[in-house]
Amino acid sequence: MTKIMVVDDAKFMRVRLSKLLTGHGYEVVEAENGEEAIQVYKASHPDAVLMDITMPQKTGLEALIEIRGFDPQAKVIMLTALGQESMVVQAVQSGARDYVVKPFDPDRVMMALKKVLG
Amino acid sequence: MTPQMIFDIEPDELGIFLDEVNEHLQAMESGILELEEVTDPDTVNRVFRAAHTIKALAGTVGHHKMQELTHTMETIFDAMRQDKLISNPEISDQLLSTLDLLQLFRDEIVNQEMSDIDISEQLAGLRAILDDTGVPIAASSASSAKSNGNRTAQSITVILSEAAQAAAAKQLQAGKKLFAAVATVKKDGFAPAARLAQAAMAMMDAGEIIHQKPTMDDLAEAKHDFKIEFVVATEKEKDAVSALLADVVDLDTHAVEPFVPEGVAATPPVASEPEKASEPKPKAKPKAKPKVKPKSGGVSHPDLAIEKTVRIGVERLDALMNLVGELVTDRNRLLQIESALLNAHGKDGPITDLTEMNGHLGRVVDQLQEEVMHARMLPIGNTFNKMPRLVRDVSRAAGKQVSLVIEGEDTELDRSLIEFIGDPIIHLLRNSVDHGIEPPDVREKLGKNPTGTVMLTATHEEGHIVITVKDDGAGIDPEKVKAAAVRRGLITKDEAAQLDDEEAVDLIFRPNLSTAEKVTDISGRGVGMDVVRANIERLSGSVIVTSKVGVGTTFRITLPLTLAIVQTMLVSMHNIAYAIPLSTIIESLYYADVSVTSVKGSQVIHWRDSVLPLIDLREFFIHPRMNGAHKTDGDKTAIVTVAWGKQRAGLVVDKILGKQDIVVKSLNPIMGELPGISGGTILGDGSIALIIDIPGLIGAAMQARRQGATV
Repeated sequence: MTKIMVVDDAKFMRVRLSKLLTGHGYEVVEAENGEEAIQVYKASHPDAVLMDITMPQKTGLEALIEIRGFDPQAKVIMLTALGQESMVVQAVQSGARDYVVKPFDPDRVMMALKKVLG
Repeated sequence: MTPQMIFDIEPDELGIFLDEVNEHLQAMESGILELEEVTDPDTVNRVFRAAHTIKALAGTVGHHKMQELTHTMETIFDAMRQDKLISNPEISDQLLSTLDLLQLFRDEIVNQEMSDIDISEQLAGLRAILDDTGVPIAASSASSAKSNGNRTAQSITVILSEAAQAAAAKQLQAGKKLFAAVATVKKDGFAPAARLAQAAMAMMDAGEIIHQKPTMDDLAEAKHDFKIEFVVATEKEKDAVSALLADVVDLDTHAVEPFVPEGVAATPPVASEPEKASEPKPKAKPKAKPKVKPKSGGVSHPDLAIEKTVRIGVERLDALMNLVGELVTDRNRLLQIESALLNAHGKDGPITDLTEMNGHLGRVVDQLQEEVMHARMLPIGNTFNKMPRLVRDVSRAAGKQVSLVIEGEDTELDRSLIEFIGDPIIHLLRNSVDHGIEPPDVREKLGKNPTGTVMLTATHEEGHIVITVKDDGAGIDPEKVKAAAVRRGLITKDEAAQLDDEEAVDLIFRPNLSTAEKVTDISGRGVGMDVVRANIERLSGSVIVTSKVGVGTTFRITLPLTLAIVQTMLVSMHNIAYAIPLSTIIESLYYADVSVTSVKGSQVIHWRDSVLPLIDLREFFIHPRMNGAHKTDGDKTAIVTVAWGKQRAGLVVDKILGKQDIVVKSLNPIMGELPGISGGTILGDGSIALIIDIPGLIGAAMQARRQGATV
């Protein structure tokens, strides 16, 4: 089963995304900040990651860089809100495969996922 | 048919949504108040994140007004982050009133009702804050236009630098193909620079980029003309390169053409040229790329993804507590059976086993009770964190300068208490700010700091929670209180004359007594201190006040840890058992050991340098039908001294039966108010004991005595 890691500090967003993904037949693992994302990534090797940029402890950007550091193949899609353009550019430069704007359109999320999963 | 939902949220998501929104609203409120005092980067970050998260949540469920407001707030906090804006009371006012609106909108989501509240004025107010900062407010919602099919741009003109030209020539020599590529993004799309950067990443996948405009650094600063151009050297064909760009979503147009650098013969590399064995391709990577570490087979924490907490409904906790209560009763019962068996048969084998088992069961039940009790506990911070806003608003409205100091917010108490303790605390705080703290000019004249201090603290003290509200204001003048009480006919002049200062100040808890010279908008709305005391006593708590004119006033609230199971001393009168909450008991004495004297016709005992009035419970709880039943077992007659707030009394009982944990059961309302009784319980032998209501009892006895004395 394809495994997706959902990283967001807002539980509500995790619940929403998990529902969407499990509804499409994906397995979901969750993390609630960048630090945890790194640990969960190492432990469960997800096929792709949906990760918020703004999070306490470690931001999504920091986690992205670290994850790509030990897994250059990591397929990470950033979740972002408006007004974070420079962070999104940095994320893309640091190897984020795509980004989706919150509030997200479920179709857009699924499209981005299908694309990075190939 | 399910009704059409206005907001996109499922019932099972509502709890999580609410928890989260409330948490972030609270974070914003406390942060805004802190920022008014001092600009701390951590606080700014915290409020920024809170606004940011609420914006995302609101957007997700489709509350656009909420999204718009939080978006603007976020922009304001961002300006603070960049030191372009410093908070002040006016800004706080604006932000706080926005929070109030957000709370309304939160409730709309919960109730699935959309109001027609107009936020344009509120938005204008928020935007005005940003006016002088030069910080633009981005549109709050992304263009929803989805452009999946990328159109193709027309011609491509690229001008190369000398260095790029040299690189191009070198690549051609190495047998690579050169392509010029251009991509554009819609101007109203979100984060166009990021999309352009994505296009650049796609081109890196194609081969080596020998020219890119704008550069990655430009993009990071959003310097672009919604367009990006490349020259890329690759072994791939044009279609393959084009496909890579087509894969980038949300590009408006893109185009790829063979590129011929100036001064190079216009012979594009032929496709059939034999492909060179791929040399290690030096990939043009953006700078600041982290070092590639070997994939660590390190420690795995698979359980990190699993929630460490579960949500339990209050009802379930209540049910658990009830069951534990039943267990406590059964345990007591077993002890009774054990002692009956011991009496009848002596320490026979099986009875020793029973004793052992009873001991173990007792310990387990105690632990279970403790665990369930703790599961019901919440930190009082949940209530305290509403107070800074209240104090701020009240003090601003009253023209006072007040700093609120909160301590002990981690102190835990039963959630049923938390629910009801908020109102009394609010009332006391309002009172302190409104009537306690003097206006700044007055304080200054008195040589005090113009800013008054109100301390709100919570601590654990021997099985109680103590909450204090302390101010350094004007204090309560006992003479004024006495005068007011006499004027309202609550006490006579003679009675007033006999009161010491502490007793006089305590009169503020009497109904219909207000010493406030002016009724303000905030306090003095008819809900008096009597209601505060009544509410606290309903929680089996007590409140006392100490005050010194010119120095300040302290209210001290004492609460039990829980209401469900109470440690008591069982006593009996006329062979009926009564339970006295242990928390009220000072000590127990044998009647024979003390000297009872009579003062003004009332019995008192001299006890530890003070004189305690005696309340003879044998008389108090006598019933006509018990006539003749009253025989005093002279040896065992005891006095239990109790305290409630500042009041103390000695209770005369027939016999002390012993200590016991009891499960409080309320009495059937059919029985009405029973003076001196607060509830009942079932004892180990199945019989019933009534729980003595100490404050009620003392009050009733004192009143009876006053009437008795005056008649």
